Amino acid sequence: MLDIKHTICPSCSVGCGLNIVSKDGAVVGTYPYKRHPINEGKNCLNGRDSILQFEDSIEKASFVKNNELEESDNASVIKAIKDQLASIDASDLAIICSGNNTNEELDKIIEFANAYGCEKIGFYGSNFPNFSGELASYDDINKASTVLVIGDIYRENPLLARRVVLSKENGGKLINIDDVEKSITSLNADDFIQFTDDFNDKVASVKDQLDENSVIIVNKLSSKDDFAVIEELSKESNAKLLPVFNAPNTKGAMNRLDSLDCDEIRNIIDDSKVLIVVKDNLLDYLSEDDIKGKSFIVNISNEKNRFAELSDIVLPGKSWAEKEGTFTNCEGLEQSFIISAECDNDNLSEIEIFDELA
Amino acid sequence: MSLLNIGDIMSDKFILAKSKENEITDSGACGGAVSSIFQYLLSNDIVDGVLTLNKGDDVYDGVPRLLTDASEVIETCGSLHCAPTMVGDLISDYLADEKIAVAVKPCDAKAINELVKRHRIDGDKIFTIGLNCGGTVRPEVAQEMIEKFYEVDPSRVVKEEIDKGKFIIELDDGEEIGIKIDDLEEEGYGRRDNCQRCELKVPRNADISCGNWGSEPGWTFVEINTEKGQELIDGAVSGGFIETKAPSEKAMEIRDKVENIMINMGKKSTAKQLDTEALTIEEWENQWNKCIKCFACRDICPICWCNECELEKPYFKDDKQAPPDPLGFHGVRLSHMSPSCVNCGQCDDVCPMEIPVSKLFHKLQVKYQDETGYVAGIGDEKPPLYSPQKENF
Repeated sequence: MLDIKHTICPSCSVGCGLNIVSKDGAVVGTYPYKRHPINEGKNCLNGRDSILQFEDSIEKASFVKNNELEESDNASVIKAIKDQLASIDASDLAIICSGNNTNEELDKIIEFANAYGCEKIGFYGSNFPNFSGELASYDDINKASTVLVIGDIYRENPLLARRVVLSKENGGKLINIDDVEKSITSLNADDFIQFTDDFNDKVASVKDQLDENSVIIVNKLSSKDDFAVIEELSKESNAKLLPVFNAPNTKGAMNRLDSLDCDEIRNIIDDSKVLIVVKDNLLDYLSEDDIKGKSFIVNISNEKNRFAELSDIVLPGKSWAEKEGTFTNCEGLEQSFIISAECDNDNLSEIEIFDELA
Repeated sequence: MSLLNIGDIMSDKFILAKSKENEITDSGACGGAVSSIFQYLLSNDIVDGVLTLNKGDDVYDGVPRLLTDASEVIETCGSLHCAPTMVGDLISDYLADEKIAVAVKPCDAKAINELVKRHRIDGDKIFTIGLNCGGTVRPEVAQEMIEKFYEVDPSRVVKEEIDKGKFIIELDDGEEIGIKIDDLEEEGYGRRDNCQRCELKVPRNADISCGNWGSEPGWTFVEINTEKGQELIDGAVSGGFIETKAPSEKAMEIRDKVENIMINMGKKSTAKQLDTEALTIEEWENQWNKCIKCFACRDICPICWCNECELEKPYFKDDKQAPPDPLGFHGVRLSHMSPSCVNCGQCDDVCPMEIPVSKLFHKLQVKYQDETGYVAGIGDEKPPLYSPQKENF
């Protein structure tokens, strides 16, 4: 039976709409969701490819022995986690969430952590610190007289870049600052400024070109300090600011949890005996040496990757298409989505997992 | 599909039809004949499913839906001009093995026709129920336009229609407001660019073509285009699903007049968009600079179907930090696809960078048509480059 249902794209924080095509319980494709006000049926390759995770994923709760997954069942694996949790003090548990979790999952995980007494909880924020200031809206970009982009949003967040394209069609100016020699964003910019170790100076150099009709978009940072420089530029020039993240609910996570950088996550791992990681691949930003042999790792993710092999227990959880919930996009808009594919498996959702562990 | 000969097209190929079920005549468009024909096909197990359009969150949200039970048909009645969908690729990708009936706009029917020629759809397994089409409007454009020109909250619109050159909305209190499409389009609103250029308003490339042009209130005007279409009507009548009568001469004249007005509008827009106001070479270069080679235009094209695309081969790999070479990407696509471009506009709709891809593809198709006489999506003929005629090129 063919079925087409609306969902929210999980590939970055822009919050595009996407239609999922499923047939007889399997996700088979995507279809444009033209009614969605953010992207009007336009999706980038990452968004359309987000269904590839169904092609080769971890399907069963598993124990990991000698870097190999041995399939088990939910009850046995949950019991093993509970045994681990019963054997340690609350201060020995650390939980790393991610921007891939829904707001409802994050609330459930926080509830679990509070009840357990766990204080070491956060998520990797890709060097973006917690930021609760006023955000530029996507409409602000359309109407902006000048847009300053830090990073390559044409390549990485094309549906946000589309807003810049529309702004340029209305006479807007695009300034791009990046450390790469060239990018599609830089080639489309009216001014391109490449930085090396002079980020602060290069950012300061564009201050006079920005005003209250300008928007600063940033999707790449090498440190939390760099964000402070950009925030300062925004304050001094009155330009609106829009940090863009690479996960669909980083903003939702930021509203609830501490945004951690690599050093902070390394410290958490070093100080823990049990580490629960929910829908994140630590090897995207840490080395194997940072995690190997340091803690008992419970990995809640269906992604087949090296991190799963380095974990002690893997619970697949549910993919976003198999569950309902909300994501908060980078402009702060909370969008709900329904189950868009009824897949044939007995995996527990993240909420069910933490209910079981409580 | 075997088309009726021109000589066969006499007055009995034009009928007025209406549903014999009150619930459908009340909720369906102009007599509900289409809905009842779908019910006939499903009730008699002539098809496994009916692919049609379902209203999603509101009138601006159309979602293709496969119905497998006759009782579901009533849930999908009514027109949705603000849902520019395409069903050709859905059928070839996911429903090629099933016997289905499908509601088609002229561009859907053209895409299906091209896919049948490429053996991606089995023409014997599909019934195409054409819906006359004055064009479609992008959902966001429709809402902005309704707020700006109709001065009403778009969420109050419960129904919309394109009729007599106007885009007409019906509000939740029953009030109807219509504004001339020409006026809306002069302001940059109205139908999608490709719909403005479309010259096929009555889908005679479908088994039957249905609509309200020339029809009497409560009746659907049906043109029967194929033998299969004739069997369909005969079966639905004898099964007691629809009743029919002959249209008056005046009704035929009105329908012709409406169709010709729409075709002339299409010709005018084609000349304007593809010729007098066409982008210059320099403007196209600026468009190509935005391209991120995301393949959205390729993936959405209903005709483009190769399982292994040459453009993903190593010799076509581009520097990811720069736009692709336009000749090596769009040029290759143009050479493969433009002879069969059905001007559905889906490539424009899905391009994240707002590149008006269809204007180039359509322009080349028009040139190709002028040179070879090949009209994409019509008839049984293959494009000359895919047929023995290629020796002449």
